[in-house]
Amino acid sequence: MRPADLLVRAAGRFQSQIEIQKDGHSVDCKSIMGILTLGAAQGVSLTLSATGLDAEEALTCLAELFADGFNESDSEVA
Amino acid sequence: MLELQGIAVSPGVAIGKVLILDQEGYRITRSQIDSSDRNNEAQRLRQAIDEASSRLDEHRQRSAEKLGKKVGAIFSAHQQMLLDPSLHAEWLRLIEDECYSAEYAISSVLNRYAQAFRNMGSGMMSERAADIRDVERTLLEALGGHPTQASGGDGQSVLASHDLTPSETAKLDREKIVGFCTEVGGPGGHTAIVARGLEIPAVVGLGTFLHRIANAADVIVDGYRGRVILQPTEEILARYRERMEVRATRTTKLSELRDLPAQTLDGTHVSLMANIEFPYEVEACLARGAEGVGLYRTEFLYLGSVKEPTEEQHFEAYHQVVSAMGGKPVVMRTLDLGADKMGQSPRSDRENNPFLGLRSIRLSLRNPHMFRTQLRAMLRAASAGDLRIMFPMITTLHELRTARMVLRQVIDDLQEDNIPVPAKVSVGMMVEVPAAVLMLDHLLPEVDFISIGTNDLIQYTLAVDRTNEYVADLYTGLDPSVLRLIKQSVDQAKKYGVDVSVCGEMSSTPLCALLLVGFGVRTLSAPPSALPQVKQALRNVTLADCEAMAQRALEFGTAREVDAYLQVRFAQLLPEMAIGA
Repeated sequence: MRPADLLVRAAGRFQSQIEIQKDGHSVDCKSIMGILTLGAAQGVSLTLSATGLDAEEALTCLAELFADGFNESDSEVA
Repeated sequence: MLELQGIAVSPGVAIGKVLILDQEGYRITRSQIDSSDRNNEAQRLRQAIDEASSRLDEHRQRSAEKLGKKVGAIFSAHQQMLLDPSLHAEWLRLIEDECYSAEYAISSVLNRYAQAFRNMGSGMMSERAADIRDVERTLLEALGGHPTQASGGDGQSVLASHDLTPSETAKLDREKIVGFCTEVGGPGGHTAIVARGLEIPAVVGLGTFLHRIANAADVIVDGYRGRVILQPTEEILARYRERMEVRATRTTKLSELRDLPAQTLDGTHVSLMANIEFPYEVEACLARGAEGVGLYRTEFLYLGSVKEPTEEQHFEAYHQVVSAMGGKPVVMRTLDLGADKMGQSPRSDRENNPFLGLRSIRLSLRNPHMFRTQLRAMLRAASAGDLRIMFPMITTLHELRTARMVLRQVIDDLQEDNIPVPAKVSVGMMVEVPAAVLMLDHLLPEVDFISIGTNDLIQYTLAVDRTNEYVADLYTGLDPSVLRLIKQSVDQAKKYGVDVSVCGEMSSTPLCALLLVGFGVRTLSAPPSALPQVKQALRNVTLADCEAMAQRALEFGTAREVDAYLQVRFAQLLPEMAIGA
């Protein structure tokens, strides 16, 4: 659950509307409940999209978070 | 007034206000508000969110200090749930568009999510459901405290629920909860054991009753007779209060026994040890004059937390117990999780027959990393006193050897790291599977001690799931087959010169304790609260009394005959104890 927490915190820093998508189902990246309902585990492919003034920055920042493995070796995202 | 009969699993009488905890969490009735109050209600909700958020913040800081960052991180995620914009929108919609109370709005929305997570199946997701329940509770408390309100002015509440999971039981606020009653469950189940450990009266297996009661109603839990009385009359209340006073006096008398030796009239000494679950129970052990801890269940570390405990967490708890016991023996049982006791799950799939499945030592051997972590912590704590290691549920010689091999490796690792390990650590096994009893001649030469775990031995011998209320009445330690297995184990242990003790529930009733002594057992381990009674019984009989009783008991063909005989004999030997026992 920590990664979901970190993701929401990071997303909350941006003005843009950010969505995260799994298997065609998309949820608000600023809602931890939404992210948890995705039930995503490690290794699952997710798509991030953002619309707004700082959209590009937001995507770069969030992608980094994923790339870093949320600074931990946890095997779960949700 | 409504009287319900269930199964008494933890003695004592509790009087308090009902606090209902159902599968969905605290029950919130679907209540609506006047449409003119909608704005106020929305405002109440916002204030509650702020309040809950600051409470969580406190929790987070406190738990991060006390339990480490990982637990703190859970509260951080809880806080994120509180601040979730989509939850806010859904709550406000229910209040503003549909005129529901803030309590109901919170509960119904969160329950829907909890349900959704549970339906996602994996163990991890059902834990999310538990997280949601925590958030819900915090919010409801912030709203003027639904649960706090229900706990009544004097703070004495009786928890009523369909079933209490072991982890819920472990988290109970002992200050406020004075008793509990559940619709399902049986004697010997984990919940019952925890209840006894906490010394909270409990009645389980009451059948469906939650729909018939309301929060905050008066209730009496009679943990002696297995009775629950809802909305009792003044007369009954008075009678129970009087009885509680009499019991309190008797308890004081029993506590005077603390420093007297546990021996029969003819001077045969019996070591009385205590079963504990939580480190704080050490106090109760010493107060009851226990000669040591005969069974330290180490599961609580897993049950209370979401993440697997670290070696340090294990070590701190073990070290605390071992050093507090000041050189008295502490028999630590390695992880006995599985079946009804799963905390966070090392495996997420379901088993059809968890009691015949991957539990206890099997689970440890299958998860060597987890097992090693625990063994390392135990061995490190061993330097602080007399710590002994016991493997649960050994069924085959191969399992025992594998477990000992892992232990050997862990000792080597520690020595390589220059961490002191005592030259000799006693290693034993629980005898709780009939297969182990039959193979004792092979097992005994490879252990320092055995401890008979009657709870599981009964269920595996009689093929009765002790938590299944449909067959719970078939679960009895007095069945002749069980008695024979115990006797056989004791005889074998003596033949091989290996120490034998009994640490199941049978040790805790004076009647069965005398029977066990008659079989030749000289070490009994029981919950601290049971020790004074057992000691009192022992001090009033001779060894010959016990032996004659045991011999006769082995001659019967049915549990009912054994029980009837023992009751009569007990009343003859100990008339004072038999009354009102």
